[in-house]
Amino acid sequence: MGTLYENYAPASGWVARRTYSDHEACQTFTPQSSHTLSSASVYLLREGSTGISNCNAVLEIFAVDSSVPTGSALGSAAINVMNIDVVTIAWYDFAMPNTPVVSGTEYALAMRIDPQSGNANNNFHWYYKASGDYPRGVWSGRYGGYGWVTLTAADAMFKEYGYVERFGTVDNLFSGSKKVTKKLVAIANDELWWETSAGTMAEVSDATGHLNTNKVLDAFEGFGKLFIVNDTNLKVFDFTNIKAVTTDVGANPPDKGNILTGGTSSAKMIVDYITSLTSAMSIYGNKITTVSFSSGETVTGTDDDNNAISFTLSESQVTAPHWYDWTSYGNDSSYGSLPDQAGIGCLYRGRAVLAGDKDYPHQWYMARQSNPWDFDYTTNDAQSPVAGNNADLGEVGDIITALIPRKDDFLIIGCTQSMWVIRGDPAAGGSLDELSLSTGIFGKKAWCWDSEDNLYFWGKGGIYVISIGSTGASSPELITKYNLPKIVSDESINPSVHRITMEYDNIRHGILITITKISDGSNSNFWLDLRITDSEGNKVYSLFPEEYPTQAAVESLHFYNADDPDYRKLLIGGYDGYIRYFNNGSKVDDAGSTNGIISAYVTLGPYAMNPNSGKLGKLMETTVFPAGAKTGGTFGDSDSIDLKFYKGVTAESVLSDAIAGTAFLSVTAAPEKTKITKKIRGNYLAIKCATIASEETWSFEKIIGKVKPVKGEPQ
Amino acid sequence: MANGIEFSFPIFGINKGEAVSKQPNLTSGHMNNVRPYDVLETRRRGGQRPGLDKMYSQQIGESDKAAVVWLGEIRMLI
Repeated sequence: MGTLYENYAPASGWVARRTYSDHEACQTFTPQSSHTLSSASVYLLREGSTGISNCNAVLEIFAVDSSVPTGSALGSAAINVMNIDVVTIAWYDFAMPNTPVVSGTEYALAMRIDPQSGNANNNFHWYYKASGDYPRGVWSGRYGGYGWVTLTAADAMFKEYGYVERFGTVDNLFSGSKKVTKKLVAIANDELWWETSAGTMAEVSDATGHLNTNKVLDAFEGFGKLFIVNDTNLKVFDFTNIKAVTTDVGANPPDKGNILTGGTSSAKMIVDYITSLTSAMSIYGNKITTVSFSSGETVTGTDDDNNAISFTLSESQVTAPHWYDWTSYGNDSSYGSLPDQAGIGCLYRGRAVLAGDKDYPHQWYMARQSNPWDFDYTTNDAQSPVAGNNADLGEVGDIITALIPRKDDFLIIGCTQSMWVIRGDPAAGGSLDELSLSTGIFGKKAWCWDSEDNLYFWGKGGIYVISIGSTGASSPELITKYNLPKIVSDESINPSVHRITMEYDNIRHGILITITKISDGSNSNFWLDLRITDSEGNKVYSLFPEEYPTQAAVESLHFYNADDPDYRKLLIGGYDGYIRYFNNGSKVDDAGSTNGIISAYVTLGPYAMNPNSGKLGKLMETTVFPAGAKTGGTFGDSDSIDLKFYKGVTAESVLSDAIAGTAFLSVTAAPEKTKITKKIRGNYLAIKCATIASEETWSFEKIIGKVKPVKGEPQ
Repeated sequence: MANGIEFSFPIFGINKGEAVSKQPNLTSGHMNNVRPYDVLETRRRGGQRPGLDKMYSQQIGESDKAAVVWLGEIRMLI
């Protein structure tokens, strides 16, 4: 018969419409997805038989004009009238020729008798509802040679079935198939926002007042939902399920995974979660039919113990998204209970994992595998819920700061002073081992993975990397110990004062590491570029400090794998509530209502001016080749560059001047090649390149100098 | 006889851990808001970092003090 697409099948309230002689009727419908209609069912009863025993009931599909049939029939099917029962009203299937129907286009199903015969006592009834509520079509009738008369409030009972072409053209290959989509979600100011369409964020009003962004907060995705842990606020933002409501679930509430069927609509859902095991409840489930559950219909199924499920819906189904409390299944203690509070969460091996319980900061909790509603630790199977104090693995002896899953292989538990790793499943032979007793992880977002299975994080001594090999995680390597040995003291990091966030940029192939002072937005950040190698091809951990306007200070980061490539970027949750990104075309930083100049500078050197280090030398001339170097050429052009030259007796004095002192020479390098002929004599030389003005950016291809040793002792 | 010397952009990034007189090649002890790949052609020659632009016009939390404390995505079957 195919997949059920459009239908109208109210449980009650319908009346008969007689079809005989030239009395005809039709019902229009509008598909919500394109498909090939292959059959249709209508709700019929026969009355009498005189004069109609050799007649057919003919159902035809038409295109419409002003919601009534027009042109020739696109397809038709017939059954003998005598096959229609005279006692019981029933659905009768008409096997239609395959007829493509297009999403959003209105069509008509028209019923007539052929040959025209019968009368008011010998006919068949097509049932309709005078005050119908099928939203995508209308009912019409005609007789006596008059045109169609439409009753817009009325709807006849019908079901149309079909299928989607799976093969043939590329366009058809995936049409109608289930596919994946992604939505951005953001949390700020006790509010939850989501991307209703590409480029548009909207507040989820149901969530307002149910979050406290001054408290610890984390969230993770799983099973088409967002699980939010926010101190005592444990919530679910559900993008997948439909919601149905009953005032009385009856004696046998459905179990997770049961299939429920609507008695009238024939809609089906797989139960995911219910809010209560008794009386009134909401049911959240994955609808597996295109038709919808409607108010008033009886829903039936069979529970895990073969008991009959039966209850009546008090409302029509509501589609996602939904906002509700995260509780155990049915909010019933037979499924255990979630911790009273949590601030860290993740998904590992299909288990919802929680930590950050302020009363038990060393404790971790895992829900049943593939069931985030089951926290009953007393069960004992391979998928059982498990927690640190209810498992052979045990608790970690430190305060948990981060949960870091890696595929289904292992879960790294970051603590304040140490790191641990759970390998495998804790309920099925898994293990818990120390990964490091020399460093912990700063916070729940102070880590990220790169594209090559390396974990980067901020720890006790700075920025670390853990490489993942075939045997598992290696020991942490401190990558800032040589180039930034004072990074921790320089940044004056304090967990109660600063937020550290790290994220890998899949497009720019580097990691943004941000340190923001929560109280005022002052910030200090690093770009770790992972594309840099030395002459032998070895990776060089190249770090570049950055600073942003306080309004744009980074509070959260996420590389968004958006459906729309225009939004597939590293996104930055700002201190002022805006979501930003790095734009190569922008020469300023957006700071809310204003733009801020990007104060970019780099000091080249210090360089010894004489091959005999420390002795005098002379810079005879300097040539600057800005990027582009030919205004209007093929390549993008640099704006002018501020060049400052510093000289001195010692390298340190030159660098000191470059940081805070007065330059010996200041030159503006034009966008095109610039030669500087001013001679500079000294022992050491440094050149500082910097931005000149707002709305400008710069880059150079190379800077070449001619240096000549000078006889004599150091100055 | 003058020798040619190239003053190269420090693509190996910041280094504050060596003697200043022995600043490692292709590093710098003083830099801010620069990256090794330029924004004009994405070539490894260095330059000013890209600017920050709004991705969405909506202000999450509707307040200048409403820091976006969490950002992520959700995948779903449709």
